[in-house]
This record gives sequence, structure tokens and C-alpha cells, in this order.
Amino acid sequence: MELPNLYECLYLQGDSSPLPAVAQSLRLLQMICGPPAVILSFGSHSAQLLQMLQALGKLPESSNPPDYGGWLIIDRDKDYPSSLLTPAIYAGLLLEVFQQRAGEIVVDNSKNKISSQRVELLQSKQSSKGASSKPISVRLNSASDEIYGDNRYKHFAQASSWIRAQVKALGLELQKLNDMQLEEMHDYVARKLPKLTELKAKVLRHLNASEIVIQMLGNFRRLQALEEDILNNVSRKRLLGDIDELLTTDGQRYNTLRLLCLLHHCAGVAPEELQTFARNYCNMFGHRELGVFQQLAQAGLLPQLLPEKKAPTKLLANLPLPKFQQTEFQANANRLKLLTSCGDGPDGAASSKEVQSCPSFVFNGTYIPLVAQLCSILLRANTAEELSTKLAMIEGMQLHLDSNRQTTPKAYAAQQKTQPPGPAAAASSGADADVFPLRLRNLFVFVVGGANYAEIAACDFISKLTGAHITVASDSLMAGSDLIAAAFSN
Amino acid sequence: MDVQFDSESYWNRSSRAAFSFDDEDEVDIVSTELPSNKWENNGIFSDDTISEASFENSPALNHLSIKAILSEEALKLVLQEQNLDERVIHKGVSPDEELKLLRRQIQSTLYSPDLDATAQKLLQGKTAPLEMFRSLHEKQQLLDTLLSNGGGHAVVTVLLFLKRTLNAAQFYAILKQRPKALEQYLSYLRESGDVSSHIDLLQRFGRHQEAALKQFQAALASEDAPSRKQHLQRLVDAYANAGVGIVPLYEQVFHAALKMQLLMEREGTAGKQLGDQPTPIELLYVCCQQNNNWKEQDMLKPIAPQRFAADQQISPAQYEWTALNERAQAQAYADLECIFERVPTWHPLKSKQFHISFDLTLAVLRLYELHAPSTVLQLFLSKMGNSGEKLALAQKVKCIKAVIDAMVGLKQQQELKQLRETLPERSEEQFYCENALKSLQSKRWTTDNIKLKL
Repeated sequence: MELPNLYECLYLQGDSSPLPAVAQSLRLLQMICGPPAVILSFGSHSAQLLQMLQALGKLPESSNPPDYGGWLIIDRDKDYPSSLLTPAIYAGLLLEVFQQRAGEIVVDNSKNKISSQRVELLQSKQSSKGASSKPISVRLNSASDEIYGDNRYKHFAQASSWIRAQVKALGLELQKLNDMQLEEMHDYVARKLPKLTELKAKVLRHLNASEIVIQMLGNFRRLQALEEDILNNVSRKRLLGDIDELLTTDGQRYNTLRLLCLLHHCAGVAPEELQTFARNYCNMFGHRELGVFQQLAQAGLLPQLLPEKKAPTKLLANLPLPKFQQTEFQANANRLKLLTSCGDGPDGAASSKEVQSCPSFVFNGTYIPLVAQLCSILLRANTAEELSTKLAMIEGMQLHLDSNRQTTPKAYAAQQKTQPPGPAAAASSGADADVFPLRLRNLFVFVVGGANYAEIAACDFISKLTGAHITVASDSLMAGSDLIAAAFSN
Repeated sequence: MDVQFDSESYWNRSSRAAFSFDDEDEVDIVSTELPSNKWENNGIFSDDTISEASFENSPALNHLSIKAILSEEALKLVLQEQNLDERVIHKGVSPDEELKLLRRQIQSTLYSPDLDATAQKLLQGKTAPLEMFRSLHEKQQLLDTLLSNGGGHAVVTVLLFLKRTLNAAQFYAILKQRPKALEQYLSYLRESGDVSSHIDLLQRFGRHQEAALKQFQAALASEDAPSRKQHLQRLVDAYANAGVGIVPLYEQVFHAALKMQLLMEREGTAGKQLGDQPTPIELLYVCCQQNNNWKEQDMLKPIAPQRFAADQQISPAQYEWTALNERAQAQAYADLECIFERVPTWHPLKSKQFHISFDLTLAVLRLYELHAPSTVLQLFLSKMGNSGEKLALAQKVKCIKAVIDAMVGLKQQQELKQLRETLPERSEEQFYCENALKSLQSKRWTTDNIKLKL
């Protein structure tokens, strides 16, 4: 179901023509896996998808029992931060640094996704040494690469130290070889050595990859701190200055822009501020990139530039009056408790200590991907009402039940309430009984417009916590820079 | 048949490799199911005998039979839906019957405009005849039905049909009333590369900002420099007099691009070593390379770095960073002072001041990366206010004199003594360290130790 340009079409150009193809694939999946008891959709494209599913006609009765208790379909633009933030897990960082194609990444010492984003002239030329090494490709597939399978959702620091330990262990193993008797050695070579060399090749590949990642993300701490401040909206002015400085001294075509997008999404950027940034950006990367800002504004990642000069009456609004403003993101994030690091009290400190106890570990404990949070809410809701109290305040959420009815979580809860409890009701409404708690504890998640590894890892974590199976699917796998890069393609 | 069969078994074997699904799926059952789902999309199994055979021959591959996951009825429905051309006539039909069938098909296409059926077909991605929608009303209805169902590529199909059969005014009126359809049509034009009608349509619907951007991109995309210049000139003139408000940023960039184009034309040597279209920063870098008087830059020369930066509205930070990199690469460290020293404008008689527009730490680190000598590093480090940070940074870039300075600033006598032991005998650094120690011990109550730093 890979559709490479879906994000670009849907969000940047407002063109919904690829949606029917997605709807057809989902319909096939429904035929195979059986229709779920409940579908939760979030966002306009998701709602449209479900509408199309219905327009395509009724499904024939499936002979098999359904595989999934619930589906969750969500628009990418409802949760930009999980794409824009830099993930802290191994698979996510691999995807940040290396170009991925058909489930494979190419590890090349001389060039990668990050170095190709920089202006070459301003780089210190020191990487001319390993020119002879051939690019290697690593398959991101747990079935064919057990090292990747074991480590993909671990924190990068953990994963890379594990790999290093593995290398040391291999070295010891080879030393043992030197001390062996001849017959022993013969036996060893025949039985163990092929396996060992294969393992060694794999480990070395990963070692190489992780070393390049470290090298490329040299100032990861600083970036992380900056991102955390952006999320929690700490001193906007300084953040803008920092982003500008990053652009000047370590300008990366996509990643710097990505930070600004994150800032706009979380705290809002004024058109004038964008104007100065865009001017510097065009100086850095050429005048031809001017169109990018309009494209990203289309997707709501940046503010629209305004044609007229500011009217003098607006000066009043510019006075630094203390205003309490919340962006939509902050409101929703607070309602769903996505921001884990903002409480600077004792609980904030606790969360950083036991990183592994919360799905936010995928972003070093700063943010929980929306998808993961919704999954855990769905799985933990015991009644429709419980669900509605958690989701009621959020707009654009729709609940689709088995019988093609479409409601909001709140309306559904109200309806459940009005039904008189008792044996009569239960008898009359066999199908209308509350679908919560979900009887079948399997979830299928579909992200319209590209998922990322952080989300998948967080869902994996949730599924381990709750003992449910969560399958994450999407039209493509994108790192944050790919998301921004989509705006450059025309 | 044999060849086909081989390709079949190839598909079986490689299907797992071809799709990255296994990786995303936490549930193993699904990962085996999804590839088989994919096969149906390919339409390979529309011929029954082959598919059966290949399943029986490859039990080891752990593939489920298609019947186990999909009921007979559903399978038929899928095949019917995925079948793109419905006019295929089964074999073994007598010529008479075939004629009848064809007649019926033609009749149905020509005389009964079934709105819902057509919309449904189009939505499934099939071809459907549109000619029977004759009146304007019917055509609009068809479009609206599609749009309300979610549209897709079918919308563009219908729009192209409308464009063919309606006059321009009616066509644009229809687009105007349906913004969704307009978006789809615009994105179709963009994809098909029809730039001029794309721009035309944008302007017609009052979207001048986007139109201006498109024109600008088209101008930059022109192949040779003279025509690029011409296009840019025309663009700048057009928007200066047009009266439609355009985003000030766009105007600035248009002007800057034109200026740069003119400059490159006049100073042929400047852009030679770069690509066809260098970025302003790259050009600035070249300007820095060619500049040979850093003390007093000639602001009349357009390729003097400072003049160029002013012309292109390059921010001070960007200018300084570029110049720093270029000079350090060229190992002309003496010029660095000139870049960062300014006479304050409000008081021209005052001595020059050190001024830097970005974090000093970054400058020092970059200079270290570029193998600048320690005296240069010391110069930059001496401008840092916070002695603690200075010490850490100086140790990082191994600039011993700056380490000593920082320790003096922190009054760390003990550490200074330790440091002196590790320094090579009778080296310059050791003398420096001893002097620092002496000054720290003897003149603690005077302000003389400030002089040492100079």
C-alpha cells in the first residue's frame, strides 16, 4: 500500500485524488480481516476515507471472525510534532540520517541525508579520508536482520552501546580461536565460523551506521533541548534567535526549516518573523526556494505571508500586552496529556528518571505521539462514557460503529446512557450494546500521509503494556526531513 | 504457459521481499496476509488454474490459500471491482449473440445517463462513457456527485470532459463554484507541466501570490542567463506597476535575484567556478576569495563582500560566518580581526570594538576544526566574558594560553600550579603560566592583571 506522494498531494496541494485508491485498499483489508466493531477517525481526510468506504458498497459477510476490535484512522496533520521532532530511537534515527528505499537504507561514508542538506562551501573539509569504502545497504526488516529486530525500538544510546558490546564479544571469540588446538580449530571452522562471520558482517554494518549517526547528530543534546523548549513554549524570542543561528552556522535545508515549522505549530510564528527567516533562508539556499514557504503555509506548518503592509491601527495589537493565547496544538496536547516534560514539579523529574515507563521515551521523554495516546485511551476505556470524557473536547474526532452510523464519542456516550439499563434493553439491542471495553483487543492504526518510526515504537510499547496487538500501517514511512522535503519537489 | 508459471513462482518467492510490510506489523498473521492481498491488486490470479497450481506447488512457503482468508463471494466482488475493462466478451459466444451484446452496450451508453452507476464506476477507477451527459445541468450533477463521494482522479477525468465540451466561460463558472474541483484541476495542470495555463488560471481566480511565485520559478528555470535575466526583469516590472498587492518578501527576492543575475553577467569571473545558479551565500564566498583589501573595503565595487552583502540583504551573522569560513580556509587569519572589528557608528572617534553576531563558542569550534593556530583561537577566546565557559572551551580546543587566562580569571592557583608541571620545560606556555601565577600571587589587590590579557 505504498503511495509515495500522498502527503504532498493531500496536505500541500489540497488535492484529494489519491484517496480512493487508499479507500479501496482499506476495503480489501476489511474483507480479509473482517469489519471492526468501532472505527475512530481523526481529521477531515480520514473522515472522507470512511465515507468513501461506505460509498463503495456493502461488504459481503465474512466467514472468518474479525481480526481487529477497532480501527484508528488519523490524519498526519493532526499530529505533526511526532514527525517534526527528532526521534531518540534507533530505527527513527537511522531513517533520519540515511535514505530509505523499499525498506532498505544505504549506508555510505561519504554522503547521507544530513550532509547533503548542507551548503558544501561552508563545511570544513576533513572527510576526504574514507573515499574508497563502498556503500552498504541495510535492510530494515526484523525477519532478515535480527540485530535490527532487537534494537529498532530501543533508545539510540542503548542500541549503540549494545552494538559496541557485541563487537567486543566477537573480538574475544576470535581471540579464542588463536588458543585452540588444530582439531578443535578444524571443527570450529566447519561449524561455527560461517555463522560467526555472518554475524560479524551484520554487527559491523550496524556499528558503521550508528557511528555515522553519532557523527551527524553531533550536537544532539542541544537540539533536543531546543525542541523541548519549543514544545513547552519557553521564551519564544530566544528560540527564534537560536533557530536563526542554526541556519547561519549549520544550515540544513530541511531540518532547520523543520524546527521553524515545529515552532509555528506549537507556539505560532508571526508573518513578519517568517519574513526575516525566509530572507536569510533564500540567501543560504538560493532564491529558487521561495515557493517552499507558500507550500508549507498551505499545509498549516507556517503562517501565510500577507500581501499588504501592516496597517497602522494594528500597532495597538503589537504592544506587549500580557495575552493568554493558546494554539490549537497546545490545547489539544494538554487535553490529551501529550506533553510529559512540562511539569517541572516532582512528577516531571520522575518521568525523566524512569524513561522506560512511558511511551514518550521515543522522544527522550518530552512528548507522546498522539497515535499512541489514542490507542491507549481506546484500549483502556471501560465504557463509552469514559472514552467521551477523555475525547469530548477535541474537534474532528468521529466514531463509526458497525452499522454504518457515524457519531462523535460524546453523542455515542449520551445515547448509551439514555438506553434504560436492565434485561429488556439488553435483549432489544443486541447490536447496540456498548462496544467498550473492546472485546477484541487488537487495533489497526492507519496514518493518512506517512507514519514514522517514533509512532510505531510508541505503539509497540503501548501494546506491550496493555497486552494488545497494535498494527501500524500507513502509505509511507517518513522522517521529519522527508516531510519537509515534500514541499521542495515542485 | 511454462514461462508464465516461472514468473508466478518468482512472485511467490519474492513477494515478501517486495513489500516492507513485515516490518511495520507487530502481528505476524497479518504480515503473511497482506502480501496475498497485494497479489489480487496485480490481477495475476484472475486466471484460476495457474493460481491453484502455484499454491499447491509451494506449500513450504507458508502462504495461506486465498480461499482461507477470503470468502468466495468476496473474492468475486474483488475481481469484478478490480477488473478495469468490462467490455471483454467471453469466449465461445456465437457471432449473433456477440452482436446483441455489443448493441446493448452501445444502447446503454448512449441513451440512459445513469448518474449513480457512472459515478460509482468512476470512483472505482474504471472507465465509463461520459458522452451521454449532454445538458449542462446533467454535467454539473455528475461532477457534484463525484465531489460529494470524495472524487479522486475521476474528478479530473470529468473536468477534462467538461473543458472539452463546454465553452470557456461556463467551464470557469463551474470551477469558481467548486473550490475543491479547482484545486484538483490546478494540481493536474501542475503535474502535466502546463505552466502557462496554470499561471493563467491562478490569475483568473485572483490568486496572484501563487501566480507570482510560479512565474518566478518559471523565470529561474529558463535555461540560459540572458533569457533568465529578461524574464526576471519583466516580472519585476510587471509587479511594480500591476497594482495587485504582492507579498513584500516576494518583491524583495525578485529584486535580489535580478540584481544577482546582472552582477554575474558583469563580473563574469565571479560565478565561473560555481554552478549555473549559485546561492547568494556561495557568491558571497567567492567575493570573499577575490577581495584583497580587508582593512578598508571599497564599497563602490559591487563585488566587495560588504557591499554585496548589503545589496543582497544578507544578515550580519551570515556575512560574518561566511567570511570567517573563507578566510580561515585560505589561512588568512590576520583578516579575521578586520571582519569582527567595527567602529561604533554613534561615536566614530572611539576605538574599534569587537563585535560578533553569533555565538562565540561556535566560531571557536569552527576555527579549531579548520586548524587555526592557537594564537587565533586565543584571540577569540579572550573575548568571552564567562571564565568558566571559557576554561571548558579552551580545554576542548587545546589552547593552553587561553586555559591559563581562564584560570587566572577564576583565580585557580592550585590548578595553575598543576598545569605548570605538565607543560614542557622552558616552553613559551610555561613562561606564560609562570607569569600568570606571579601576577596572581603578587598583585592581587591591584587591577594590573587586566593588562596581562592584552
